[in-house]
Amino acid sequence: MRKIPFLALIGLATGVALGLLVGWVVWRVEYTNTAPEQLRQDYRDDYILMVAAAYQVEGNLGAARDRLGLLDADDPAQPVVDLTERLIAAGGRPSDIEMLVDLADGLGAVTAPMVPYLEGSP
Amino acid sequence: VKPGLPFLLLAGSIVMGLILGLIYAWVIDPVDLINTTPDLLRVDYRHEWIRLAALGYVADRDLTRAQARLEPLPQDDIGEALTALVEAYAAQGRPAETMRSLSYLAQQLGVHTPAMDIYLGTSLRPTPPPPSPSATPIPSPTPPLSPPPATATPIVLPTPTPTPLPTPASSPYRVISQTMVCTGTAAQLRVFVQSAPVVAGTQERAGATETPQPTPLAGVVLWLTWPEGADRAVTGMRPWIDPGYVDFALEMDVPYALSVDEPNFPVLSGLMVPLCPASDGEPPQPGSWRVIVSVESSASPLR
Repeated sequence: MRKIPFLALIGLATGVALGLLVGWVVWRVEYTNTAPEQLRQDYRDDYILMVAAAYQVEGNLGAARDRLGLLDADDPAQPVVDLTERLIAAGGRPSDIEMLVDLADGLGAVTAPMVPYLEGSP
Repeated sequence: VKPGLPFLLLAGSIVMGLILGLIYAWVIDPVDLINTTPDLLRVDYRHEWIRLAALGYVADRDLTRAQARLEPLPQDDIGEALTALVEAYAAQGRPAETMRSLSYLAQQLGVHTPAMDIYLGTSLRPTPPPPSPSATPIPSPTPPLSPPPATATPIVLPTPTPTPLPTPASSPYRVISQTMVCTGTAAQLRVFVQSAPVVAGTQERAGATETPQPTPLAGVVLWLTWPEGADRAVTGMRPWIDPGYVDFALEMDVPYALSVDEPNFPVLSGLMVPLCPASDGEPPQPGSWRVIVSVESSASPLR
């Protein structure tokens, strides 16, 4: 009789382990309808850069704000500021930085490291 | 204890555990994908990514970078989104330089739309046969016209006003017909651009009596200007109406001028929204203009 609870416990543990293996590894939930905020950091950076480029071409600040709102609905300018400052610190491509600074300026989010680019003497 | 009970208990608890494990793994704490890639985006975001990559190319002209950004995405999505972008931009009359860049990118990515041909230097204008020294154009009092846009049965009222402007002797463009059209739709200027009919010498020598047919021309830039502004359009965007067709919306009491290629040399001016005759005591309704512009065979190549 003592073996019965022991067997039930072993069975339950084995079952849970199998369930987790199947649910997390073998047949994990597939995400196919993700949003930009779930992108990997390098793709997020690319997205922000492309929004800045689109702003250069279209000059539509409202559209740029809406696009950035998909990354940070509370503060759409913050991802631009973060990326711009990172690129400035890392010596990124000047034309990219200029586009980002221009967008940050349009969004009213210029920070100290961006000022030289606005003055044309980075 | 019955002989089979331990086995049943073990199997039952495994099944129970499996169910609990799956509920936890799929519902309570599913795999959280926070490092996704563009190909996993929802379809509208995916198309937005493609549009942004294309606009990124317009801004930096870095083809390698644009291709890398689009590389993970399905070709169908790229074709659909780029086609929509090129056609929307063409309809909006975006700068030619922007259109050229977009068209070039689309071409590099294996996407094709009629609007692109204009900006890729692929001439859509047919090259008429060179006139032979003995060729004599046959005058045609009523040149064959292109079919009108599909609308309700139009009432066509020929009117003599306003008069086409005399164009400089060197200008290859000439208004050969202007007709008021009453269709009950919003006032429009509907322009059909076509090549001037040319008769091949061989036809004449053979005594052919067939009237030469003008050919609709796609890729011609037209400008509609008025005191406060201007609009630009390119023929060929609505080939289902006519390859040489383009239209502009007109507003009441505004004098318009129509130019070809450049906005400063109108072939037609003083154009106002016409009023269609009233019927059954109703007030006159605004009508449209149907204008045919003929281009001599020596017209300059496409921009």
